[in-house]
Amino acid sequence: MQTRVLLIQVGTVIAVVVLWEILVIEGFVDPLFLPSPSSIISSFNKIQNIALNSLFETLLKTLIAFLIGVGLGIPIGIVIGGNELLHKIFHPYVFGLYSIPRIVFLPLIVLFLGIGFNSNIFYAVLHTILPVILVVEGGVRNIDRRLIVYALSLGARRIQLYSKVIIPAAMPSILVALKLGIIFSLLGTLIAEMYLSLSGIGFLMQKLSYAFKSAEVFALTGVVASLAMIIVLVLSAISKKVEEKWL
Amino acid sequence: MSGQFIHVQNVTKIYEGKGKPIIALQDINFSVNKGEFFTIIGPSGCGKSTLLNIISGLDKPTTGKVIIDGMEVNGPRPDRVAVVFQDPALYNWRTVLDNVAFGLEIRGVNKKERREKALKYIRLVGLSGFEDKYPTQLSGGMKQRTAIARALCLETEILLMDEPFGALDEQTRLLLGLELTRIWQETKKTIIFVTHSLLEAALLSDRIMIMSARPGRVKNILDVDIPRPRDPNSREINNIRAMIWEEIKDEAKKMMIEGGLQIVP
Amino acid sequence: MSHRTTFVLQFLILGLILTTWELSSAYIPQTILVPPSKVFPLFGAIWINTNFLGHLYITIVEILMSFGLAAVSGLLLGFVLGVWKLLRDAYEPILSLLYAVPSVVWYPILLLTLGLDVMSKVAFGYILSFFPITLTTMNAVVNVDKVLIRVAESIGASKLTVFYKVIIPASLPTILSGLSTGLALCVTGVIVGEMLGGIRGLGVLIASAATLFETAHYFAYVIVVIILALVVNYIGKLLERLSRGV
Repeated sequence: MQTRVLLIQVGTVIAVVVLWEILVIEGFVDPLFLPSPSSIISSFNKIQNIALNSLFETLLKTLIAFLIGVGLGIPIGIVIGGNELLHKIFHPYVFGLYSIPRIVFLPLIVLFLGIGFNSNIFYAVLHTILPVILVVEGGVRNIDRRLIVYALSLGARRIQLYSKVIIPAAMPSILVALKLGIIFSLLGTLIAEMYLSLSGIGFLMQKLSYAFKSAEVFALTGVVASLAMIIVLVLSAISKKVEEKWL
Repeated sequence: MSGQFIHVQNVTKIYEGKGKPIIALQDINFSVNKGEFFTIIGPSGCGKSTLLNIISGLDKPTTGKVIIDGMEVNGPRPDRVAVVFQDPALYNWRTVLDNVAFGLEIRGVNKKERREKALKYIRLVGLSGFEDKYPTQLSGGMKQRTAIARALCLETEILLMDEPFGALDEQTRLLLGLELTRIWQETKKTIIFVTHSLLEAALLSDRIMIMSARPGRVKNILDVDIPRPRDPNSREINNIRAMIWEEIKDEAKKMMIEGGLQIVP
Repeated sequence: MSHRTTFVLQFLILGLILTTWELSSAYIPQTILVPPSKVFPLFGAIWINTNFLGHLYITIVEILMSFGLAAVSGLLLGFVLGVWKLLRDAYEPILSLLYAVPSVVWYPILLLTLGLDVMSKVAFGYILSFFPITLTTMNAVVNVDKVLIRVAESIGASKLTVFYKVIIPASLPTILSGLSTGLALCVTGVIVGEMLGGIRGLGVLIASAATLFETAHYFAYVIVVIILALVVNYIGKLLERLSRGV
């Protein structure tokens, strides 16, 4: 069964690539519109240097936004999740902000912080922190009440309750929040780069697309997409290992 | 038996719901002697668990009070009263040892002493060798034994148990019941045990309090004078079961009809 | 804490935010922060402006088109993958992996191939919502309690009947939640697309107002988008809740 599944997967990918190549080479599709896979691969060499620099810069920004986003978001989520009053007050706003296109705030951020690194990071943090808070908060609220009641019946103080019961019990949600955090901080960074048009791989991709350099755009898209997929796979593997121990 | 230890006086519990208030318990009065195994039995929904929560201090009565060893109950007293629930509610991220020692950890007892005490009670419930296992690796019966060890580790005089074997199969229930009797005889605690099983009540108790259907009242209290170890198939046990059933069957019918089920008498 | 107290509390907080906003505009230049007292009248005025209405119309059309396409294709693929185990085992990992990619990565390609106008936004909204709709629908079908299906089969229902009378009703609430998420993502996708490069639409209005330092207009347009997003979300949740009552 496993081999059949693998065959279908690999087969589909190969079929798509082959069909694609044929369509372009036979002239059914304008190479400007859809460059051939072969031209995409060869364009890698042309842009290698600048692409790597931009990519590095983007990843750096992503990391910073991620650290700030989860560093603030996880504690906030725990506190809001653990306190009914705080939840009632803040949850609607956090959820509300999450459900709207947050990009609309980007120009406002730029008005305050100017075009540059700060706006980029601020927006990426905003993009990251909201889902992290929501996930962690949800995880805390879903803890089996019995576990908490039991600790309280033993006379546990607030700090003990949080450190010995709430945080360990919410660990699975915290792990999910970390996974989400990386994806969202990358997403936020890219969006900000494309809007601010200054530097980073998001900007590079957009600039190349305006210059009609199709093959290069496709190449970069492939690189960034693959990178994201690798990050997700690695994170999933890690979180599975951790979950086995915890659950 | 050195006299009256736990007094439940005129306890009433009323819940304000959306609409008519629900009277869960009405005018409950009884006493438990020190070192006694006291069982509370009644139809589903009669308020047994509510009563236990009030005695443990996790809930407050609307009127009335509970007095333990001369002091009124105002809140949980983990130094006097330990509770075991139907759901073992163990912490999955802690080993059996760490779960059992949890109460002591909260109290601030040092690590060495915690470990010693925890191991002692793990041995007492028959789980030696499992102290480093995690709850997910245990069977239902073993999880419940861990919960019991956790309660015992608090070394309180009183143990409250709310249908602790309710989620287990019959064979495990009978075996654990025997274990519990042994533990009780060794530790000489005062145990208040809530169950809906007639057999369990007959096998384990010194006295059995039978509650009525909602609003829960004390219907009767039976003495069980049978020496231990008790044979589940003996005539004496069957007599006790019959007596309990006589008292309880009308109440049980009332609860079913309240739920909409018509029963042919 | 009763519902009424919560309501009052949130009302007070909203009031606090608006008051702070109003007062702080005395200290911050009006090119950056425009107080509510200037924004709200403008907000009322733009609805008569045909230019604004034209852009709003474009955005709504883009949203509806992208959602329509995503919903149809997503539901179809979702159902197929839901009932066909082999295809599901093969394609679910691929779809999940693609879903994890930050969606904006695809946008430059879309700009390149579909241009700056409506179609690239429609395509972007489509990509954003297609994956969650498909995956949610697929999972909803897979997660139907097997017991329910067995009961129907034991009565002699055909596979098609089981599909229509058991699987679809049982998975409906989850599917609706997926559609609701998809619709919200279409709104986001379209707005993001318009703001990152476009000719017409609300997002374009927002971006250009900000660039031209017409900050009051910027605030007004942002409020429109926020209301649009919240309304769409609310409708989605409502439909989902209604279906659960079924």
